[in-house]
Amino acid sequence: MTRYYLQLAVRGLLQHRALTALMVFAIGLGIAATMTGLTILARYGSDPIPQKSKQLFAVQLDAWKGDSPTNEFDFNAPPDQLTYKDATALMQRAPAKRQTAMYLTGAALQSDNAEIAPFFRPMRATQNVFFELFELQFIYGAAWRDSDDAAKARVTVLTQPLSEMLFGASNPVGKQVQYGAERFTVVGVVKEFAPKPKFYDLNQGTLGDADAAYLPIATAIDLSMNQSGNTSCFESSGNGWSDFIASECIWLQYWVELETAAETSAYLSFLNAYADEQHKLGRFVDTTRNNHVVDVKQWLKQNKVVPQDSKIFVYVSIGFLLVCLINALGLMLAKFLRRANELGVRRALGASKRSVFVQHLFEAGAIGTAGAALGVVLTILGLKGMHLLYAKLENFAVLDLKTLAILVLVSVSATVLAGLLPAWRVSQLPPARALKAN
Amino acid sequence: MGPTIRALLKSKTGAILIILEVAITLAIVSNALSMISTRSAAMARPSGVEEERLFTFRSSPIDRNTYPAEAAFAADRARLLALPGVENAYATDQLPLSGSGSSTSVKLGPDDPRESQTATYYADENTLATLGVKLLSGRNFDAREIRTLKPRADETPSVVLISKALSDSLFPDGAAVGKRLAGRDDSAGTGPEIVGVYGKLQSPWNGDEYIENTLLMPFRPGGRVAWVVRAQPEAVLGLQISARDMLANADRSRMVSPTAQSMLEIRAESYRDDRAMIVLMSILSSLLIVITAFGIVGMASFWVTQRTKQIGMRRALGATRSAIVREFQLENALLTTAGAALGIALAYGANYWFARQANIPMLPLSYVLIGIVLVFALGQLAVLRPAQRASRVSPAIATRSV
Repeated sequence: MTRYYLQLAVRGLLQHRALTALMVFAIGLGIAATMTGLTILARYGSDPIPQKSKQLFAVQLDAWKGDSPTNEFDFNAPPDQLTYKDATALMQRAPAKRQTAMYLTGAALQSDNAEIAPFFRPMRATQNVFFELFELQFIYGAAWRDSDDAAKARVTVLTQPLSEMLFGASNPVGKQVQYGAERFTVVGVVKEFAPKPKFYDLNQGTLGDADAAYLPIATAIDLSMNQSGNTSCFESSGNGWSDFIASECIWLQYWVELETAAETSAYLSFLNAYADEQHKLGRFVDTTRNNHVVDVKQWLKQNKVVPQDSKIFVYVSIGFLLVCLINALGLMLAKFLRRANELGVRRALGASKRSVFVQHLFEAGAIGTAGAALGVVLTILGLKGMHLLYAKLENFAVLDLKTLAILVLVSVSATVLAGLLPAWRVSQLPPARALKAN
Repeated sequence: MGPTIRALLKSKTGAILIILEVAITLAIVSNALSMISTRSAAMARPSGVEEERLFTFRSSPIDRNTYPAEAAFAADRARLLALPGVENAYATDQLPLSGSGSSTSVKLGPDDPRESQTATYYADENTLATLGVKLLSGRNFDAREIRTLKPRADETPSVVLISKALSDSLFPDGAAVGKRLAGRDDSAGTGPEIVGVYGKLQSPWNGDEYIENTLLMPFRPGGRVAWVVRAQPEAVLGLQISARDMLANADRSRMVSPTAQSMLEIRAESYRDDRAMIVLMSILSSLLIVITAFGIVGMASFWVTQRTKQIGMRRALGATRSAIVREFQLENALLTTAGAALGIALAYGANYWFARQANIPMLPLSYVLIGIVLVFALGQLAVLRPAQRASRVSPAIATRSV
């Protein structure tokens, strides 16, 4: 029976081809627009570190005294970065197994290979805990030791692309690289860590470039390696690097790993106690205890990583899809009812109302399937177009199998749903009138 | 009108579908038009600099401790000016529309209600001439006033130049030149003296509410500098490569960014998302209009077929061809009116929803009106062919069967 319905459906599609084409085209377009938008939205909203996102927390301390907001989205929010004073205090005293401050810096890299001209690379100054905290994978060597952090050692961990650029495929552990005027010893090589969104430091944008190398934060501070992210100050940062690191300017990111609710609340209590203590020392504007630990998901939400334009595009394309479906509904109604005579004959020859109904649902399904096929092609083209419009989306917003499956499912089910009414209407036609008219 | 409404009531489903299509189309198209025009207007704002004449690249000392910043600046500037086609050059920290920079708030004293947010740039005596920004009053910086600052030095300048927009917000009724800004401690008259007011020079952030507020400080960066080079428009493209390469090779004690950017590229990059949104909204709206039009054609054609006999009857009873065409046109006009009424509500609902999500202005009525005119024209155009076909139905049809 199914085969018979399919045959009828195909034959139905071939009648009034212009109408069929119009429906398929409209559904394909509507589905493609929506899926293109949803793919982008889903990528922005995706969890950048799924295995750990519930245990990782950004730390916010309300060390801000001025009257200018530091968070452009929420005037009551505490600053989203820390002062160097507080970052060092937390690293020494706060109760957590793994936690670290970090900041983005960079240096002119000089290879011993004279053929490679000096070039700039972004680097992250942090503690060795960083690698465990975010589960970076070592290809060669290992993180620097705790004593290196303390001793401001000139050691570094390279990412694979940088290591290959400087040393080819060989193991560079123990070799030297030159950052600016200083020589560093390579202690390890990690696979490039490029989570998107770059949740742990959103200052260079949601899809900021991956860091090329890592070095101990104490070393970077010692060498006054300038910070290249965002800095906010409510008072002068003084004259030069040593004033800057002693200032009330906020410029460091701080992440902590907390496994249980008890650990989280203990950590938070510490932050509040610390804030009270600093308040007594004349820092921190008041004791409102506007201090927080924020998990990855909430952090991304709070920082509005999903671009408004992407959301608007999705709303508009859903409206567009709706018009396409309404359009298909109307055209199916018109198309099916035009067959009144033919259907009169089928009914008179013994076809039940139900079989006429099912026959037309199959036809609707066939339109949906054709629309889905066109939709897949158009979605691929749509995403290509998006890459042209927004270069940053390349290698980021790509069609995956899950979206593809959703696309086909939505297309077919929405079209069948839209076909319900026309199919029902046409199955209710009394056969006699149609026959009489002939 | 009577027969038209009765005919519509007989095909309620189709009528409702057309009304819904028209309504959603109107809602989307009017909001899209509003978005397109807001963004085009933002993109059309001049940055204040002669963009087609400027390009930039960065140069960073490899060892900041031993780098002779002042001598290197003078040598590099001489090298740049020696290149044929180069007209002027200066070194700064940041550029308009570049997306990264510094800002501060300025006021004249404690609790100044006119306290204004402003972007700040490092500048020297050649800045205005290089950028092509006009000095409106007061004087330019003097070469002797320019100081080279260490990285991370946060010093208060003794003199500043401010933009007309900043001057207007700080001194709505008068001359800014000669006045002093508040000092670090907010006390009046202890901060930098405003020695000049220039015309337009935008801030680095194109989405900034205070985009026209800028302030020039007589500083030169002692670490990394952004060179801004002015050249003949037709020479910019070639010089972008040759000037950068020349400086990179002239002195290996600093690192020069691998490529130079023209100011036009910076502008394009700055407004990239807005341009993308304009393209996307235009495409979606156009496709929507086409699909709705074809939907109307399809539905109207179906009605013509369905009502062939009634039309024949009316023709037999004396209705003229044009009366039949008018009937279909009237029918469409009624549907569009209903659709437009619903569409206005939807358009404002969507606008309210978008506005809550993002920084989107209230939908101006004019775009809704344009949208209404559009859907009416669309409907009438779409229904024309089917209506003409209807008008050609022969009165004889009425006699064939009843």
